[in-house]
Amino acid sequence: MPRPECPPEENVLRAIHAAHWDESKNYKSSSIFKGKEISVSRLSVLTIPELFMIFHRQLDKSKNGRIVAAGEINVGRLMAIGREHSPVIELTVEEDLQQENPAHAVIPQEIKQRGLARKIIDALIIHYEEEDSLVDNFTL
Amino acid sequence: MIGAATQLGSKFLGLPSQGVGQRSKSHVQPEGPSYRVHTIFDLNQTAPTLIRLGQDQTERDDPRIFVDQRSVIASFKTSAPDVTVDEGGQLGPGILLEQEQEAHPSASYSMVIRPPLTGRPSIKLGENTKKVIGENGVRRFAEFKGYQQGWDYDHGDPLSISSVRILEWFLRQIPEVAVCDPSLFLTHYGNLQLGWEDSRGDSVEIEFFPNKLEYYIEALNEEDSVDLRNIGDFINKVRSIIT
Repeated sequence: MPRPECPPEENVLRAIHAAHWDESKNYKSSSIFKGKEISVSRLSVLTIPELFMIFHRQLDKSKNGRIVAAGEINVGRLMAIGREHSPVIELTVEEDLQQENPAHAVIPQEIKQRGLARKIIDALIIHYEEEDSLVDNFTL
Repeated sequence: MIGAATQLGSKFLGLPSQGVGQRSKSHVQPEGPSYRVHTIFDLNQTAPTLIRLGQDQTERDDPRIFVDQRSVIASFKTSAPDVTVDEGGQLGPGILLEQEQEAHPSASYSMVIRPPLTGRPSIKLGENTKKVIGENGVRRFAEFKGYQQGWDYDHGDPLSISSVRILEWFLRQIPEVAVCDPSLFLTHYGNLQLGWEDSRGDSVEIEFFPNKLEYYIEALNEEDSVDLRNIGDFINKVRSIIT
């Protein structure tokens, strides 16, 4: 059964692992968006603080690094970046609910080009956990 | 005979038919006891993770295979009296991968194949590499060594020992990369990757696979892969964007 596509109006969040971002130099690796079935989370389903909690729950008890931040991008913007790239690639985001993360979704296409991955990274709005926790507390 | 040993090991475990690279320089004397070379393989790698020389106590010439809970050992012995194993130094990765084709009819060879390790605490970086990647890179490398299979939400192989070797070799060829103050990354393939921004803010990335490099040079709008056997032009290209 095909997974439903997320509409272009939605925004999604990509967790950024410490292995892919050298914080001290503020340099990000294309690995954040290079590959197939890249995981993202839908902000129409869960909030950024809720998603950070899920990211931590999955990683914090292991020796497998940590999530240093998360990058937000609009699905329509993601699709446009793919179409503007040469060679053109039709990027989509598909729902992929998981028990531990009901907002989980994937980019099913394989992003092979580092240049394309870097364009997507450049378009991200970066969120840090502390910043979003503060916003959340203030709202409450 | 090394090739034969490799082939048997490969057939036995479904590994590519390559891998007995030779890293420590040691001459076994023609007289006296014969010796055994142990090449320990990681199941995920095609290059050896460790080579040891030890005295061979047996007279048997036929291939032997030992299996225990952690290792599979394909053991071979020949009658000729000399073996040369080259250590570190200036060996290029092409040589490293091809060395098994060269017959060393003098020694017995053992190939020990172990399942993947859950951590890589024993991998160390050379001084040249530490100098290039700096304290921050060394700290990140130490973290990467602890990552286990599936480290990024089920994606991500553990750090590849072969990739570490290729990175070290590459940086010995072009230590001036240090002026770029590169960042060190671990990719989902378990490879190390260097990345930095040039003076115009354009990105450069080089990923070190066991048998090739993949690179992206934004200023040249160029991304490609390079076979390790033909790496000279690429090194010149990197040198040209640094200076």
